[in-house]
Amino acid sequence: MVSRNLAWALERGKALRIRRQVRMWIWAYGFLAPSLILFALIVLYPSVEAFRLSLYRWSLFGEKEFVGLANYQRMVRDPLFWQSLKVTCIWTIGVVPWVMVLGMLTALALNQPWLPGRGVFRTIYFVPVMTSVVASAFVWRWLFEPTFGVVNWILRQIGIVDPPGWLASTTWALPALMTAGIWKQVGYAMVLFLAGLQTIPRELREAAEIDGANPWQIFWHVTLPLLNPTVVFVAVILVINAFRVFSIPYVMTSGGFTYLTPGGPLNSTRVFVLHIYDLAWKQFDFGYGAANAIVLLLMIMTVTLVQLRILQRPFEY
Amino acid sequence: MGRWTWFSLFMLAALILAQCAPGAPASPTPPPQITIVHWQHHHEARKPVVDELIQEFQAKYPNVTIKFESIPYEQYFDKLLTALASKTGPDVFQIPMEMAEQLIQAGALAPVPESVMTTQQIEEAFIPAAVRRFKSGGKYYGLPTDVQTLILFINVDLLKECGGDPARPPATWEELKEQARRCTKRDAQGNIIQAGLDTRYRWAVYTQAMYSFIDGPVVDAASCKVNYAGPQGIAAWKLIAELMTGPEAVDSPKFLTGQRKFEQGKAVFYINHPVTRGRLEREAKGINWIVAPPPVPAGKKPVTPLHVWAYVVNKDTKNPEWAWRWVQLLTSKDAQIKWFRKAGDLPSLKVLVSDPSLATDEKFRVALESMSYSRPVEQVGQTEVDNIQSELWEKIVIQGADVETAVKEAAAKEEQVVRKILKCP
Repeated sequence: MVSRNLAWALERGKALRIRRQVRMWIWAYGFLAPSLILFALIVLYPSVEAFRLSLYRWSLFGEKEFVGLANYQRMVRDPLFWQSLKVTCIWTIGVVPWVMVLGMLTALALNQPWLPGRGVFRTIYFVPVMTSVVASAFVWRWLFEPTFGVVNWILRQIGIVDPPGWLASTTWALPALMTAGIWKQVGYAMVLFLAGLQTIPRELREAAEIDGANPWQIFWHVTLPLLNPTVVFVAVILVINAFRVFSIPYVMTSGGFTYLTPGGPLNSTRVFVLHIYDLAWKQFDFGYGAANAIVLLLMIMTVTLVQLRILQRPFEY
Repeated sequence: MGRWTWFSLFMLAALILAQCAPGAPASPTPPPQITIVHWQHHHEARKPVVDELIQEFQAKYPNVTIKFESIPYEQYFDKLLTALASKTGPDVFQIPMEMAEQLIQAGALAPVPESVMTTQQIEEAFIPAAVRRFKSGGKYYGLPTDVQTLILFINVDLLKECGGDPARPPATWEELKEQARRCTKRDAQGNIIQAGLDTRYRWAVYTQAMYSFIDGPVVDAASCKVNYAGPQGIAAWKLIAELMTGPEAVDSPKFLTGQRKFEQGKAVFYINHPVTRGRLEREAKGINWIVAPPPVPAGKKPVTPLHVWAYVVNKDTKNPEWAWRWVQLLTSKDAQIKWFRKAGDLPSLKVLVSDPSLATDEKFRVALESMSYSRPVEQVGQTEVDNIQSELWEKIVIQGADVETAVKEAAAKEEQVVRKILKCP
C-alpha cells in the first residue's frame, strides 16, 4: 500500500514536472514567436528565395529558366566577380584595422577622468555615425574633388604640386572612399570600446600600478585581455559592415550625377554589393545577381566564424 | 401569425413592388473617372512642358486625371522595370530606342490600337528613323518623343578669349582638336582649369566620333555584328585618345570630376543634345553660347547620330484607349512645337521637320537642320552596352591602353550582348 502510494506520488510528480515544463516552453516560444515570425518573414524566407532564384536565369520579364549551378560556374569565370571580391577585401583590410585602432585610442583618451570636456568630445566623435551616409558621402565627394577640392588644396599648400586625381584615378579612388568609411565608423567603435573599458574594475589597474607596471604594460596585460569580448564584437561587426558596404562607393563614384557606370574608374571601387546591384538592377540578370548574393552570405558567415575562433579568448578576473 | 411576421411579409411585398414599379427618368450617368499614371525621367526643361500638356488634356477630358511622376534618370530604369515586372507599373512611360526590342519581346508593351492611329497613319506622319525601332510584327509599340541629335555648343566669350572666331566654328574633328587645345587652360602645375571640350557626357563624344567616322552600320542588327573594331572605328577611338591624353589633352577626368563644366562656364566646347538648350536657359543664364553642327572627319559630309525615345503604354494598363489618347496628345503637332520651343526636343512629325517657321532663331535653325544629316543610333541594349563603351573610354583615357586592342575587346563583348538580346543563332 505504501509503495503503491509512493509510486503514484512519484508518477504524479513527474507528470506535474512535465506539464510545468511544457507550460514554460509554451510561454517561452510564445514570447519568442513575434521575433521568430519576423525573422522568418524578412530574413529566412528571402534568403531561401534568393538561393532558389540563383538556380535560374531570369531577366525580370518572361519565364524563369532553370539552370542549376550554372550561375555559380559563371561566377568563377567572371573577371568582374574577382575584381569586386578584391576591392571588397582591400576595403575590409584597409578600413577595419584603422577603425578599431582609432576607436580604441579615442576611447582610451576619453576614458581618462582628468580630461576636461569629455562629453563634448564624445559627441563630436559620434556625430559622423549619426550623419546620413548619403549626405556625408556627397560632402566627401566635394572634399576629394581633384581641382578645387579641400583635400588637394591642403596638399598643394604643403608642397605636393601634383596631388592625386582621387575619384578620377584608378589608384586613388578606393583610398578616398576608405577615408570616408573610416571617418564614418570611428565614433561607433569608440562608443563600444568606451562601454567595454568602463566595465573593467579600476582596482585591477590600480593593483597593476602598485606592482610597478607602466601604462603600456597595464594596457597590454590587463586592459586589452579584459576588453576581449568587446574587441571580438567590434571586429565582427566591422568586418560584416565592410563586406556589405554600398552607399559610400555608390554615391562617391557610381552613377547618379556622374552618369558613370557602377564601380568607379575601371571598376576600381566596385565593391561586392555594388556588383550585385549592377547585375540585378542595372543589367537585370537576377539569377546571377542572386547567386553572387548567396556567395556573399557564405563569405560573411565563414569570415565571422573564423574571426570568432581566432579572436575569442577566455579570461577571468 | 404574429405581429412581426405580418410586418416582415409587408416589407417583403413592398420591396417586390418597388422593383416592379417603373422608375423615375434616370439622370445622365457621369463618365467614369479615369486615372492615367505617367512616368518619365526627369529633365529640368521637359517637366514644365509635361505639366502644361497635362492641364490641356485634363481640360479637354475632365473625367481623366493624369498622375505624373518625374523620376531622376539614375533611378528611372530601376523603378520602371521592377514596377513593370511586379505589375505595378505606370500606364504610360518612355523608353529609349535601344530598349525597344527587349521590352517588345518581353511582352511588356501594348501596341498602338488602330482606333487611335493606324500603322499607315503612323508611317505617314512620323519620320521613319523615329519609329522604326518600335515596330514589331507589323504593329507599332510606341510613338516618338525626345528626339535628339548631337550638336556642338560653344561658349562665345571663352572662344574669343583664346583667339577663336564664333562666326567660324570648327567643322572637322581636326579643327575642333586644334581650337580646343588652344582654349584649354592649365595652372602652373599643369592641371586643367578650363577645358577645351567638356567630356563629362562621354557618350556624346564617342558616339559622334564613331558615327561620323564609320560609313556603314556601327551595329548591324540584321547580321548581329558590331562594326567599330574595323579601321574606321579604331580611327574614331584614336581621336578620343588624342583629345584626352597627353600634355595637350583638352579635358581630364580629374578636372571637375563628374560635373557639368560647360554649364559652369569652365569649358569652351560641348557636344550634347539640342535639349541642353532648355537647361542652359534655366540654369546657366550668364553664359553667352551658340550652337553649330557637330564635327566630322575632314572631307566627310555632316552627320550626327539620331536618338529617340518613345512614349509607350503598359500592356497591363486598365485603360489602354485613354492611355494612347494621352500619348497621342504628347506626340501631336502642337505638343511637338511646345517640346521644341520650350525644351529643345526635336520634332518627329514629317510636317514639322521640314517647317522653316519653327526655327525662330539661329539656335533653333541649327538644331532643326541637324535632323537632315542625322542617322539613327543602332545600339542594341542599354546598360550593358553603356558599361562596355564607358569601360573602353576609361581604358584609353585613364589607363592609356593600346587603342586597337581595347577597341577590339570591347566590340567583341558588345557583340555578345547584341546576340543575346536579339537571340541570334
